Amino acid sequence: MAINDSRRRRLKVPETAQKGEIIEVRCLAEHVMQTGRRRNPDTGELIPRFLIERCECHYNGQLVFSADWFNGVATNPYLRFKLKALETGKIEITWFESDGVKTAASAEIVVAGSETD
Amino acid sequence: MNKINIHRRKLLIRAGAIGLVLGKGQVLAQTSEPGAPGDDPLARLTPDSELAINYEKAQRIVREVLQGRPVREGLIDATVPDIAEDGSSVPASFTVNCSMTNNDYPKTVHVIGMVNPTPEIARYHFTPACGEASVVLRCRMHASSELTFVANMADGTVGMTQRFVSVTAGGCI
Repeated sequence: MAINDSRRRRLKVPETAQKGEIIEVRCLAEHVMQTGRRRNPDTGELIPRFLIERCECHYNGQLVFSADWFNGVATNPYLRFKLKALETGKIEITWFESDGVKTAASAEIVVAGSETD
Repeated sequence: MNKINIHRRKLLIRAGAIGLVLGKGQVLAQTSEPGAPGDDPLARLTPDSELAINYEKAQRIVREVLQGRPVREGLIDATVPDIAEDGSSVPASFTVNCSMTNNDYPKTVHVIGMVNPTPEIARYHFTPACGEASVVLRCRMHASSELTFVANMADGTVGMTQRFVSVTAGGCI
């Protein structure tokens, strides 16, 4: 059924920030987000449902933000949200697909004025 | 049939949708004969009743989240396009006006497309570590309708904002 089986993941966070600054996290998962309502134009068969069902953000191992996605999320789901920069470390996004596959992307951020510097 | 027509009418009035279709719906109700929908040139209107069913579903989800609690006005700022030419990717964003400290933050924000076959589009879960409860997303919309944002705050209060989007080509296939 390989219409588009790309699982490329992109994540963008600022490289540096001041302690307490609110930063923007942008991520994009390349994914068909097949709703299970589409039909194969040649055979008329329903194409099985295949979605990213959940997306989590961990900041230095702590779950800080998450999203549950349903049929209404567009193809190649894009997400932008805010985080408070408190310490230097790793921001990791994990995507959970309906077939059980888990993919992740991570980025390092250096926070000026944080104790871990 | 009657019940569905009533639902449809309610929906169209509620959604402020095209008066022309409503007029045709009335014609359909008066002239169509049951049992021969295939011959009816107005049969293309049947998706409207599907919309009405979806709308009922969406209303139920909103009620389940609100649980009869009073809605806080102005809690959520939402940005949506007035007109979305492509319903398969509608850019939307929301910000919850709160301090993100103690219990003044949204545990969950629900995004609901009021006539989508699966009305609930997404749920976003926040923590005080977010610093600001703000999300930009792209969603699918089946037809012109309201996008509803419902925030379930950690202190037990709720906020809701609805924005109407005119969808040129539906994208929920």
